Amino acid sequence: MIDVASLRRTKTILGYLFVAPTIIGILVFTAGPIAFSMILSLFYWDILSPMKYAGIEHYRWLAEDPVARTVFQNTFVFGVVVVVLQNLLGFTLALCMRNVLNKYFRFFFRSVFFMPLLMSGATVSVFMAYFFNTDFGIVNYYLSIIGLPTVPWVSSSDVVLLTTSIVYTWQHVGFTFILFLGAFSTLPTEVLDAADVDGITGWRKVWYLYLPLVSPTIFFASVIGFIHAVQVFDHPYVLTRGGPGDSNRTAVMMIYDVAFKDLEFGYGSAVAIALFAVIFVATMLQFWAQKKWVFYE
Amino acid sequence: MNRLRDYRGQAAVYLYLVAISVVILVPLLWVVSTSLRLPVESYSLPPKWLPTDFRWENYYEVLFSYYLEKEGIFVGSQASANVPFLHMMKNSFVVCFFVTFGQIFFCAFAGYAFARLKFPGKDVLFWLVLATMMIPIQVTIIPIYILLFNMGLHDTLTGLILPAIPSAFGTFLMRQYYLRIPSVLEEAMIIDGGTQWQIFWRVYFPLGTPGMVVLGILAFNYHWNEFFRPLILLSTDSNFTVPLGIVALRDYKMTGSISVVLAGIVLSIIPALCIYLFGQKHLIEGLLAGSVKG
Repeated sequence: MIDVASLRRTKTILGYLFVAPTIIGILVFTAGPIAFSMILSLFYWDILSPMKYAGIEHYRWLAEDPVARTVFQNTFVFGVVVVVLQNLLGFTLALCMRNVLNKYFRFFFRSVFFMPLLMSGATVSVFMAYFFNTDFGIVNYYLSIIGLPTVPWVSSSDVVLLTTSIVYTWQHVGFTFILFLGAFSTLPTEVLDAADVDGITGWRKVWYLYLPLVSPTIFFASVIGFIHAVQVFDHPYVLTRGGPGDSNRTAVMMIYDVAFKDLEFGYGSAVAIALFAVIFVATMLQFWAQKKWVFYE
Repeated sequence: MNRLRDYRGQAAVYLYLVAISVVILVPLLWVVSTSLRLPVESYSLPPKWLPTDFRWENYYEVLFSYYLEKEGIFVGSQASANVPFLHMMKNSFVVCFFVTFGQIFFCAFAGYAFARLKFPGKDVLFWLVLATMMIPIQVTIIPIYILLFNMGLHDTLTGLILPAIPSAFGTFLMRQYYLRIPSVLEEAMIIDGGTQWQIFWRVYFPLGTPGMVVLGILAFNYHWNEFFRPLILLSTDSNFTVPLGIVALRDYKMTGSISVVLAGIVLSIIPALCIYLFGQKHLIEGLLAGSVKG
């Protein structure tokens, strides 16, 4: 005979036992810290001396500090440039893969586009710094060979953020590519067949058919790409340590500098909370986008 | 006419794919071939794309010169003599091992509970998991550093491993896997007199293996390449992980050979590459699942 009551009781006990380590871990290492960050952002603290209440002073700094303005502007511009580049490349590459039917070729291209994702952003930036070196880098060498002016990739404050975006995109384009590859593999065949019957080909097919059909993925990839990109640290840190000046400094680099170099943990937390607000808004957009995505299916 | 256009279109498609592949492969090829070059030629322009010298001593140097110099034998450049690369390889393997298996175990337990068990407060707790999935480490690093500092765990591998084990994303991923397994199996076990623990351990845990592989590969790849957290939490050379070691190699190298640095880079890529060859399907599947995470 099965004792339903005792079955339910063991399920309850086992349930709590099973989730306890993860839930406690999340409370201690994620939920707690985010709450503590919010509180800490209202205090002056250097870990060694006692905490002192600061009110919203740190947020006022954030609004008035020209460095903070530059940093958040850099982060935003970087996010937008990366999203545009990744979408352009990811979409066109996945579109071209529709014409590649040989399975070995498909494996080759997929692996190549994916390979940089297996590396550390720091490692990639180390060798890309050699590549983009202004005086004896390989990129400038070839530019000068074909008679073009060389570009101060990492030594000019006007160019360095673009260089970082290129390096970041080089590394992460495989992810967007995979997203679009997935989207193209689930297109409704009856719509495509109907278009073939109507004789729609070439660019018209891309513009009127493929683009609208994968538009949910474009939106999805943009929001995801933006969320990831605004958290960038490895690339600007390893390429130029944020310089020249502050031209390559991003929000996470500022958290690192303010908290762990200047030991202003309160101000650092305020920067972190501001970045979190940006990510929060982008995430809400993503949830909204997903609803649309599901609706499309 | 139409056929001709088709061929031209096909050619354009391949041209584009090959061009982008070249842009991705050329830097990697340069890294590998220059890592095998003589120090004097490591920075030569025009660059030579193919390896010509095969100077394997660069690899020997990056791995061993720190330890040989301790013994009074000086080989190679200043860079490699200052960086205990073998220690760093070992540290990275230790961190990845514990984080990967820790995540697999605890996420399997929690994921199963959220998918198959009933207990009061389940919905609230699951909502907590979902809500914390989008919080990036960069935003919580200050309190985590303070916490580990107070626990005396800063600059230790334990301090790097411990906070990485509870994973909201992994819990979510495993829950989705267990939801897919039909509950008929569970009912059959109950009728046969199996206990709840047996149902989990004998049926669901083994059946969740594909999900664990996806989670394990993602966790290994992420923590093998992780740079930000180790940079903040670790401060002693011999505690560093590999990406910190690569940057340290680069920073010690003031002038001269970059071949040794690049040899270090090649060595650091090999484990991740093996993981890819072993489970590329799982990795891609995991990344697509991970994209929901944000």
